[in-house]
Amino acid sequence: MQACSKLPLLLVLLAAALLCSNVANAAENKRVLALIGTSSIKDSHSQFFSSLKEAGFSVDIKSAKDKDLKLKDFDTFLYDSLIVFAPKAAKFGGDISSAAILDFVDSGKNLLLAASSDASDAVRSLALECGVELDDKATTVYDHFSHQAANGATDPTLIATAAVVDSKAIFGSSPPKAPILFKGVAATVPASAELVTVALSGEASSYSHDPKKAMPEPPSLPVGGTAALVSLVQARNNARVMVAGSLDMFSNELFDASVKVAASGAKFAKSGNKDFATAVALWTLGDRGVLKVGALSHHLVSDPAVEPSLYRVNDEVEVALDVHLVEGGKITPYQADDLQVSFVMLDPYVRQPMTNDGAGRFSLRFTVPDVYGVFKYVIDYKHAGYSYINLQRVVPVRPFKHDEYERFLAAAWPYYASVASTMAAFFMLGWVYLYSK
Amino acid sequence: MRKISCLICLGLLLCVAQAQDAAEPEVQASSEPAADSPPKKASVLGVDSILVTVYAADGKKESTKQGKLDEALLKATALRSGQYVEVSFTPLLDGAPAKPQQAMLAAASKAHPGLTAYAVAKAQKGGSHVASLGTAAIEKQLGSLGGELALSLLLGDPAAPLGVSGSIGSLLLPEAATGSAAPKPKLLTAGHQPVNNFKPNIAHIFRTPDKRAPAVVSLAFTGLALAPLALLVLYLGALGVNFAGFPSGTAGLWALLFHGGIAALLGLYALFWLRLDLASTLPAALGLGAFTALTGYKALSALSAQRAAEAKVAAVAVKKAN
Repeated sequence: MQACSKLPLLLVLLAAALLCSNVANAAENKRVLALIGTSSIKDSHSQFFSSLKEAGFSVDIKSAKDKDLKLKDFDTFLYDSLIVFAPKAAKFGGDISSAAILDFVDSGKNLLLAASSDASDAVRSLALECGVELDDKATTVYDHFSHQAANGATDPTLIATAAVVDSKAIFGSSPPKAPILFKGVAATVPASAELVTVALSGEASSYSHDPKKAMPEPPSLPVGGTAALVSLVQARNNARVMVAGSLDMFSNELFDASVKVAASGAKFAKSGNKDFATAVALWTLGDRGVLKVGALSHHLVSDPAVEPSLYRVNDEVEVALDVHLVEGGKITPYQADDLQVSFVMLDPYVRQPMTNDGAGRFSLRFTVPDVYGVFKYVIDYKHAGYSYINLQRVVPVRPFKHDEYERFLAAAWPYYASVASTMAAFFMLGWVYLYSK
Repeated sequence: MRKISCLICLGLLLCVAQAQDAAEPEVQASSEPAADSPPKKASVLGVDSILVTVYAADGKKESTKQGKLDEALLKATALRSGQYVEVSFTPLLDGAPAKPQQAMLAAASKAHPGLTAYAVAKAQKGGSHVASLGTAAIEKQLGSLGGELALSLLLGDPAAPLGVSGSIGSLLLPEAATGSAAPKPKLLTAGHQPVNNFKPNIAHIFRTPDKRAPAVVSLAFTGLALAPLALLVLYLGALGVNFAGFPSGTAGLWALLFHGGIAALLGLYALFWLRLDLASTLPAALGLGAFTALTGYKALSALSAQRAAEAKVAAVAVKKAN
């Protein structure tokens, strides 16, 4: 009887223990420090922070000037991601500095940076170090055609743009359907920037300008689609950085605002800000688009069980790799048809796309080139929105041994016949010479 | 009385509060100061007639057209390398010449939606504005892009709630030397940026094996190689070769062993060619060779002795006959 009465309590304790362990597991890689410029941002941007918490992130909101700020304790990082919602901050409190933030990113951690037209030099230099060049100080993005016109608004600096990158990695299967309201500063991203993806651009009629100065000529002038409003950077160590030219686009006011596009008159009950901001923030924090890769394996087609230490020329080989996609904590097989593998010795001798079996296994069968030397498998995969895959495996290739060449060629039959006839004649003549009378 | 005075005070307070609200500017977003103060009344932007001139690379006028906005002044006008288009117009704000904040030419690619080249109009004396856009400026912004571009004018100013845009016509650029390769604009946009780093596939070209003669040729020469053996057999047959001299008794046994040893050596030679290596062949050859030498010595000795005895018997028979 006593045991029965204690059973519910035991079950409750067990459930609590399991819950704590799950929470602990979920909290791995989900610790976020948010630095805000003014205390009002905590309330004015509460929906944004709540959406991160709903996705399982623990967000620690602190003032950018807090004297006790620190990103790491000795060599242990206290957070996995940093949000900087303090565009005017000239410097940060505690142990946080621009150098510390860059070191944070270099260590593989993530950064969300919101700027504005009057962003400080510290914020501008941070963005520049991450590969995004914000337009000059005092410039603002204008659009006299595609701006917010709901409730009679006429401000051309509160633009409404639907120029969003088409990326399944960032938005999944539900991209923002309504225009995004934006008020801030634009950036430009040169075509040579391999690591940057422009997530949000201005419409064709938008431009960035300081009314007190003369307007430069394009391409110096960020105009139309080249005015990058939100840029996503994925560093070579797969650390992610988001640079947004507006802090207001993350605010409750713009999340909840209805939209009427001035020129077209198109109306939307709610802006696309919440969907867009949540998606890019979750991508930046590593909740989407992360690829988990297994070890690269290779073998002869005739002997799949053994991974040889070297190949022979003209061998038929198969190379394989397991790739899975992690989204919202769920692991699914990665689907792609652009994952290439190269077989390289100084230059690539073979470069082909790998075949996907639908279960996350990518493989390729090919014939080893008829050139011997030290080759290596190289996989250098970059797809916008997904983690980079950079793998190399050295495999020597030897030439034919002396007894591996083709034999009994038709061209050799006369020679075989002459040797055989000599042997037969020798044997026959022995008999004839000795015993014939 | 007291209630009435309270009501009057409350009403006065409400009026003051409403007046204060009316005096405050409308705040659309949080901490950003507005770059320009909002317009006090809705102004209307417009433009009078537009003059479009096409210039050659050396600066000579090639053609001039005048018309209104949204008239197709340029109908797929071909623009060769070095040529440019100059558009002159006077922007109007509420009917009077003005200097709007945005006065641009936009040339949007029809083949690649989202790729647009721009030119900023410069204000001239007298209120007119001039914007010029040529192949060099387009190439500087969009790379080597060819095909038809829709040319339009964009005017905008914070004083007017809505900008003015209109079509001027279209330009035709020569196709890029690279053919139908994807255009490479100088700056990335959300709609035009690399999706992946997919490189052209490479398949190794194996060395073509040396050409060989047809098998028929080999067969012919094989026949030629075997011909002497066939001729030898025929010749021996014609000579009446026989094995009457094969010894009998023990000598015959040694002879069989001797020839067997020779055959085994020839067979070992063939096996070495087919599958054996030198390490396994040499000991066997040594053994077989010794066997063949021994049996050969015995056989030939016995044969020699037998022939000597036969010769002696024949000599005695000849002596008796004589």
